[in-house]
This record gives sequence, structure tokens and C-alpha cells, in this order.
Amino acid sequence: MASQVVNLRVNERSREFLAAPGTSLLSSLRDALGLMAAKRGCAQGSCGTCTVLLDGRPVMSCLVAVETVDGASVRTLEGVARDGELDEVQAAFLEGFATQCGFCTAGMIMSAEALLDRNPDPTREDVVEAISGNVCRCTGYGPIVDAILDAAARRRP
Amino acid sequence: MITAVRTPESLAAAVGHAAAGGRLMAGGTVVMAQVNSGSVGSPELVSLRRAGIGGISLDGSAARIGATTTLAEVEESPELAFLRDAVRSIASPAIRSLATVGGNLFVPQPYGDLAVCLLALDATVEIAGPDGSREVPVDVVLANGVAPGEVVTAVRLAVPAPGTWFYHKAMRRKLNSAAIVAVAAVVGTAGGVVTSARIALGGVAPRPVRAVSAEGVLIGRPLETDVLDEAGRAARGDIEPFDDAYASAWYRARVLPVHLRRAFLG
Amino acid sequence: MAKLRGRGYASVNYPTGMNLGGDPSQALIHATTTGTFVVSLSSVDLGQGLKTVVAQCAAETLGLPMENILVDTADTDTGPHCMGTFASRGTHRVGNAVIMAAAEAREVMLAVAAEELEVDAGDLETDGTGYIQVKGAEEKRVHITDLALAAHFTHGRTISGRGIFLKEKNDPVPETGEMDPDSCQAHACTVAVVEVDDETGVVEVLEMHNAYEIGRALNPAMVAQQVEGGAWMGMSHALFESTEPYYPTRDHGPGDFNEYLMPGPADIPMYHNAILERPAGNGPFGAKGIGEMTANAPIPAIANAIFDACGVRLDTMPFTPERVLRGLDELRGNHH
Repeated sequence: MASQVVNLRVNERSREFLAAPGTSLLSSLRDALGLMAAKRGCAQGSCGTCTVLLDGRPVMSCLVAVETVDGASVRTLEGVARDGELDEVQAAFLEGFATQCGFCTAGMIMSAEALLDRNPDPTREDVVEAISGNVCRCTGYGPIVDAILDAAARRRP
Repeated sequence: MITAVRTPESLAAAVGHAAAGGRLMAGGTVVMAQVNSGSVGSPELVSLRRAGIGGISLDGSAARIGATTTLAEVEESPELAFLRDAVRSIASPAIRSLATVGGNLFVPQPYGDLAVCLLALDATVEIAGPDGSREVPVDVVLANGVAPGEVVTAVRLAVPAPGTWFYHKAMRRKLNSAAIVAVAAVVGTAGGVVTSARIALGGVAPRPVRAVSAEGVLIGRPLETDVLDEAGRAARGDIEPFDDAYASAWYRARVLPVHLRRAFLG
Repeated sequence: MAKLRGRGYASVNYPTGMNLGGDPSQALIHATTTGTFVVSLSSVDLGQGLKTVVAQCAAETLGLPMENILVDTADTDTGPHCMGTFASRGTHRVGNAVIMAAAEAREVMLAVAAEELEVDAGDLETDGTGYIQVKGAEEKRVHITDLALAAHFTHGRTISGRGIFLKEKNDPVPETGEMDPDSCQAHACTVAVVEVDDETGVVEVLEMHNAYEIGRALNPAMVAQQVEGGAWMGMSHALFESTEPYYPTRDHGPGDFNEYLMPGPADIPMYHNAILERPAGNGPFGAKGIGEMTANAPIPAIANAIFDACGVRLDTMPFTPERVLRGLDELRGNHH
């Protein structure tokens, strides 16, 4: 079977690309569409650096066979800033020193966006659970949890 | 090397592809990891995402859960609220958005905590194949898998009466970690003593096991510390613990009675 | 069944930099036509924030805002030499080199401003917002953007500077073994509070109190990042991580991030951090290094806290629930 044409709505734009059989959503985002924020960390779904939103839900994009989600909508970190302005989560990470090497940051922010989309007033436990699939080796997690709670407060009217 | 990924839009088509040798893939959390590491056996994958075998329905206390229902959907379902703690002990949100109820039947221990729950719940499994459909108790599928070409389409279970469902999973960390010992149980009491008990254990054998020895100790006796300690020690006869990166067989057998007691008494 | 609480501490003193065969870092600074000062380095920022600290050192020395500094790193084909980012040497060596380069660039900047304003360079000061002005007569001033333009197109001057810091190679005195291998030493102490479940051997770290003496906290928030990130890593090494869980056999060596155990966000303690400053005479604004030492003291502090909690003395990492439980069994005379 040859490569398939896949259509996705990525960051509110319709995108069309070829995918060889078995290509993951992560590979398509990075290699076919040039969206590099989602990272290749483990290829097994254990590190969370590939986290994106698929039809609004956080998923390990390295574990999604892209042909099987033809027609779906995807949101990556590249689609988070609005008109070039950092959103509340991004601003809170920056101002809260919640990033060091940055490798986990895209996945952390997407997990946070998924949480806040469903639950605008999360408890600390809610935040911890939301990022429980995202490994960070630098920060010790504390500043990240604080930044997400800060972002939630900034976003609430 | 994968030569084809099919996403059939009917169960019949899915069965056809499976019967022709395609490797079934539900959420992809197991199969795609193998694809990524180059270790998947079959060159053809059959995704069940669009085969129409999702959805949760409730008829009284009888629940039917479509095989491709994701763990996240179970977590959000009001009908299955009793399973919420169990589902949230499995992996992480970005895995639960993909992993399915059906898929959880086929992962080896110490993964597969929902399968442990289904064993305790005396669930049945609906299977469709090239020669027709059948429905079997979940322990048959846990022990034998399914035949080539067959597709699990749903699980059925009775929602337990309030106060009869117990679940506790011991892990090396608080979230997103495999079972050292998992306990799932439906235990009924009347007049202060146990009248019925189905206890399933995870993390302590290659497949989920019924703690029949522990059940025997509990019948007719109260759910109290000394009774549960005795049941826990008896349960050591029901397990075949293994060493892995999380814990040793020695440790799992050693703490089994502690976690059995904590499942009921906290 | 009991949760046994215990407290333990450990301290460390940790060298800044290494001896090697001599340990240099170099920095070059030049101003663009619009007054951006480019700091050229081969040094690497791997997330610890070296670029930020370098910009702070350059801005402080030049007397200009951070916004005027552009740090350009890590082309080892073309950049001025750096030994690398390790041995907690970055802030110290690179910071010192940058200060030296910035000091030279500042002298040139003031000399060109003196020409531009027709005053003596000694009468000039910077106001920190981008102006070079006459002391006591601030209205007589020039903005760095205009000055840089004038330097290029009127005066024909390069506003630039060169810097190097070398820790010279030091050999031990054969008779006594004395030597001078590092530039300065930072110090730390961690107090860990743990809870041990005496039925399962599970150890939970409830609190870590960390005191760090690091010369000068050039960027206190980034210092806190190192202290907490390192404390987490120390706890992770102490309680969770192993590539050979059944050492010395290689059985069940972890194959992914699930099996390679590390504490997650639900497993972190409360951190309390205190920073002390005893400036190092040879450090940039007195700073010492802090990178690697932050994972050290937490580990023996946790071991000592476990001992305090339940009497089990462990000296092999990780301090797994099984090791603790076997230790408790020994103490209690249990044999399972």
C-alpha cells in the first residue's frame, strides 16, 4: 500500500500531506508540516514530550497512527499564542521560571491547555494529575504546577 | 516495516481484515509503541477506531461498554462512576485518551488494571469473528486471548451495589505507574459478615487472578483487620509473582496481605 | 501499621571549576551600528540560564539595559574558545571573561562619547537606561543608539572588548600533596524530612530544607531553579533510579521512562530554600558555581532521615521499599 493523503485541521488551518503506512501523528506534525514544538522523547508514550490536543483531548502523538485520524482537528503549541501574544499559560511559565532546558515545555503546556479547557478552576491535585504523563528532568515540577495554577487564575474573569 | 494501515468503517470489514492476518489496533498505545521500535510482528495494521464498537449503555444495573471506548470516556461516564478511581490509577491523561477497554484485556501484567476490575466484576466479553459471535466470561479471554480473526466488541458487567466495590493499587509512585499489587473486589455483607466475595488481583501473576483462597477465608466473617490479614496470607497461594523493574516477586508476595487489607479498610 | 517520621541532614562543599591542563574561557563583545552589544561565546546554555547570566554581567559592566545585550553562543567552529559547560564552571569562568570584555568595551564607549560630547571621558557616567551623560549635567548626554551610529559613521571606532579568564594549571606539591585545583568552593546543607511506612517500606520525602552558600546569587530565581531541580534529582537518585534494579545482574533493566523510575509531580516534597552569600574574591561579582552540587546533599540527608525514622541504615541506592522492608525485618527479627 502506498502513502496515503491525510487531511487534518491543524491549529485551525486545513492541512493536507502524505503519510507512509504506520507514520505517527508526531512524525507527520514535525516532518510533513514543520511543526517542531512536539518532541520525540521516547516513542513509547512514557515521557509526554509529544503531547498535543487531538479533537480537544491530550494525546501522546507518537502513539497515534495518523491515517486513522484523517479529518480530525489537532492543536499544537504553535497554535497557542494569539496574534503573536503569549497566552496565559505561556506567560505564566515564562514569568514563573517554569522552564529550564525547555524539552518538556511544549508537552507540559499542551497538557495544561487541555486541563484548563475543561476545568478553569483546578486544584493543585487536578494540575498534578494533568501533567502526570509529562516527564521533567530539570525543574522538579514545583514551578510548573505553580505556573499552571497561576495561568488558571489569570484566565478566569 | 508497515505496509498498510486500514481503518474499516464496519465491524464486518474489521473482522475481514483481521481474518486476513492484519494486526488489530484499538487505541494504539501498545501497537504503535511496537511500530515505533520496529518490533511489531505483522506488516498490516487494522485500526478499530471507526468500526463502530464504542459507546457505553446502561440498562438498570447492566452496563455494556463498547470495546473501543477509551479509558477517558469511562472516567467521564456517570454510569461507571464507581470505576473512576481505578481508571485514574492507569497511566496518564494523554494515554487514557487513547487506550481502550478492549485493549486493556490483552496487555500483560503488571499493566491491565481495568482487566483486573473486570475479573472482579465477573464481566463477560462479546466477541465477533468470521464464524459468528460469542460471549464468554472475561477470565476465558484473560487466559486464552481470542482466536485469529476475532474482534472483542464489548464487555458487559453489572454495576455493583453501593458499598460493595473496593479497589486499591499499590505503585512505586502516586500516579502513572504499574501495579506492584492491585486489588479489585465486589464483596457483599449482611448482618456484619461477608456473604459474597469476588476478589481479583493484579501485579502478582502474569495475568489477573482470582484470590479464591482469600475469598474462602472471608465468607461468613466480618471485614476486620485480623480476618483480612488471614485472607491476605491465604491469597499468597493464588499468585505467581514475578520480578520486574518495579518490584521483586519476594516484595509483591510480602506486601500482598497489607494491600488486601488496605483495599477494604483504607 | 505506622508511618514513622524522621529527619536527617547532610552537607557538601563543592568546587567551582576544574584544573584540567588549565581552564580558560574567552568572550568577545562588539556593538552593532544601533547599539546592540553582541557577546560572542562558544559556551553552551543547556537550560541552566548561562545566556541570561552572561547578559546580566555584560549589561551591569557596560552600564546598559539588558535589552541592549545579544548573547551569541555555541558555534565552536568560529567562536572564541570555551572549555564547555560542566564542573559548575560556566558562570564563574564565562562571567569573568564577559566582565573583562565588557569593561574594555565600556572604556571605548566612553572614549567615543567623550569625543562626541567634547568632554573628558572621566566626566561621563551611564544612567542604566541607555544614556551616556555628563556627571552633574545630565542634559548633556547621548543615547547609545546614536553613539554607536556615530562610532561607525563619524569617528571610525569599534566599540568592542576582549575577555578571557584562565584558571591556570596547577600541579600537586609532591612532598605534601597540596594543590589548588579549583577556583572557590560553594557550600550547602540539606535537611530532609521523611515518612516511612513500616508495613511496606515505602519512603515519602515530605520536606527538604536547603541552604546554599554560593558567593553571589546573580539571578536568585535561577538559583532557586537549580536548588529545587537538583533536590528533586537527588531524591530521585536516592529512592527511585536504577539501571540495574537487581544489581549485579542486569535483569529487568528498565527499558522506558515508566520502568526507569523517577518521582512524578505527585511525589514531590515541600521545598524550603535559603541562599547565603559570601562573595568569592575571584568570582564574577563574587559568584560561585551552583550547577552540579544540588543533587548531592539530598541523598545522604534522605538516608539519614530514614535511619532516624526507623533505624534502618541503608548505604546502597536506591533506597527501595524492599530494602527498607528487609531492613525492618532484620531489626524486628522477622523472617519471611
